[in-house]
Amino acid sequence: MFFFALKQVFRTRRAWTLLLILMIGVATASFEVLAPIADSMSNQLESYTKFATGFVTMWGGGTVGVDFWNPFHFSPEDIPGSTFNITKSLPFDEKDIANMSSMEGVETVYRTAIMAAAYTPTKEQREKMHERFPDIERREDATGTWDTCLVCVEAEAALAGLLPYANVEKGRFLRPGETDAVVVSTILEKEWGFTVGDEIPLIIWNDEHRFKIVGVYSGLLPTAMDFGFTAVMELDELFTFLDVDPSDGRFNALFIKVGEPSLAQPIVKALREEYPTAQVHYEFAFIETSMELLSSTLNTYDLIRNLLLLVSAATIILIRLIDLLRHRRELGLYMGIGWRERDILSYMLWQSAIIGLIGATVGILLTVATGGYLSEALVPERLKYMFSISTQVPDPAFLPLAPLIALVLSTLTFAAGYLYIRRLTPLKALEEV
Amino acid sequence: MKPLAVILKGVSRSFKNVSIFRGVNLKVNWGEMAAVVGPSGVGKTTLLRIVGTLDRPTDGEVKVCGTDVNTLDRGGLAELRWSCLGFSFQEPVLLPGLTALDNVLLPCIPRVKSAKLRHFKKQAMMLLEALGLRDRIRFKPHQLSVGQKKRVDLARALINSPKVLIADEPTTNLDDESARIIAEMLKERLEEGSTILLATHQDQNLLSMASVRLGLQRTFPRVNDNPKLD
Repeated sequence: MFFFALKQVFRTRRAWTLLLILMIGVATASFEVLAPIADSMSNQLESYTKFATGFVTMWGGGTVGVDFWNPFHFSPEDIPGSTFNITKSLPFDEKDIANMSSMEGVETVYRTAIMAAAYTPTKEQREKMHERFPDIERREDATGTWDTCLVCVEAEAALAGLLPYANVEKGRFLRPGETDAVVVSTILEKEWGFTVGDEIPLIIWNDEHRFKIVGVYSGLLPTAMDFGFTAVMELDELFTFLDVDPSDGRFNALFIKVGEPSLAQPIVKALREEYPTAQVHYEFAFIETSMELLSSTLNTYDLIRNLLLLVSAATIILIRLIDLLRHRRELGLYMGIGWRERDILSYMLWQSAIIGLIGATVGILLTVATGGYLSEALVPERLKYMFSISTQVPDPAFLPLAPLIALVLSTLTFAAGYLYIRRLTPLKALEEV
Repeated sequence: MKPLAVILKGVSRSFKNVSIFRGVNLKVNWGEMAAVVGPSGVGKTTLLRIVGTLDRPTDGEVKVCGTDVNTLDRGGLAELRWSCLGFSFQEPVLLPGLTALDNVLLPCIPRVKSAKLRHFKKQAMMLLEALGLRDRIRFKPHQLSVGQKKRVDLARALINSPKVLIADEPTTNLDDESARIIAEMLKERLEEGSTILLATHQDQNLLSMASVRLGLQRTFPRVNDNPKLD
């Protein structure tokens, strides 16, 4: 009976029914593709919101390259015509920090130096990056190295302020006083293939230093300060490499922890007046509005997703019932030639199960095959660097669920068909519909 | 004493209070051919469907193969159709996706284990061959003429070697060749001892084989010319 039902699925126009169910399955699954993308954006924007709520950020200038010169021991005479100026590139010192700390509402000021460190890629990394970013050569210098963004933070800042807002996705964050260790961004992990436990060699002031990767994070800094391929290390360790006494240190980024969002506005105003060349951000209001927008978008996604699932389910049942009506004469014939009720029911059950399961399986395979491409196409490249977006599609929880839904729907359809068959006589069934 | 193959006693059928026939009596012995004759619309097909257990009478007693069909539930009727009856429809009902051979084998699908199906397959091929469809075995219904479809339908009715074969207008609207082949097959079955109940318009060839004739007319009462009926 199973083989007869299987053959009948493909012999008759039920193959079209199967295709329709499959298309509905793919349409439903496509929305399942959107869900993890939207979820990961939401999670990270939320953590970013917490960061923006807690901190006023000050960004004093461009990322300072430390691979060719040591900014603290550099004099413009070394390179004729150079416009490099340490007070311009690293504008904040201890005096500024003391000044800011005394402002009303400021709890703590955390020092940060954001530098560029050179990394010599492997052949595989170079090939992969050339494939992904055809214009990568513009970012390579004459020595064939690539820039990494080296964010040097106070370990205390990490523990007291930044850490709760950084999503440490693997491993852990830096411990106070920990040397030769870095936490890397998810982008660096994804694009260059590093992960927790690996060592990453970085060139700082012409010397190569090997750092052990202890964690992978996402969402630590505003994007203006963090271009994505980032390693975070302890600030004091940087000064050791650069042969500078920490008390003589200078910084290009500060994180000013404020107690209350209401106090942040006068602080920002005062800082902008006092440091006109610095970028002072307090993005709470902006992020809050974005969150509201995103939240409303996510709710719409959810609504459409659930509605689509519901409509798909109803459509599958409806298609099967219409199919049953169209093949009424066939069922009448089975009755007329001596098939028992249980034979007809077993035939229908097998057919429903076959159609449901084949539809669900092929639908899932298609979604898995096209889901990655779909999510790649849906999410703009720039957004991928702003958020660590999950492209694991479809949601693994959905995979075992789909055949289950198909089976439940098949059984429902079967039950409806059973009620229909119970009322039919062979003569009635054999009538032209 | 062995019961008769078919007994109808005072059988009536009406649809929506319109009487099709009333008080029909008929007795058919084993190995006999009975012909239901009459013009179109007098209820020949309806009567055959009642005997074939596809329909129930509004009134009266119907016994087929010694079983009172009024006492049978749906399961019992299905068993009777498989074990005793073969029904050839007036308009052949074939499944479009199946070949002629598969259509003939259809009654066996749920009843016969796969090991024994081979035997039925052989029998189906012999039937189709005997009905002149040797080269059409793998053809699908849309590739067959009306006469050929009718022959496939008859082969399906014979696949379970029924004790009582019911054939509704087996030769009507067919070309001479198809009509001849079908008549020969019915004759052969009759000689082998099968009981046949058929409806026909005016096929003299078939009527000459029938030992019992039941004439249905538009006017009431219907006439039963079965001499053996009391």
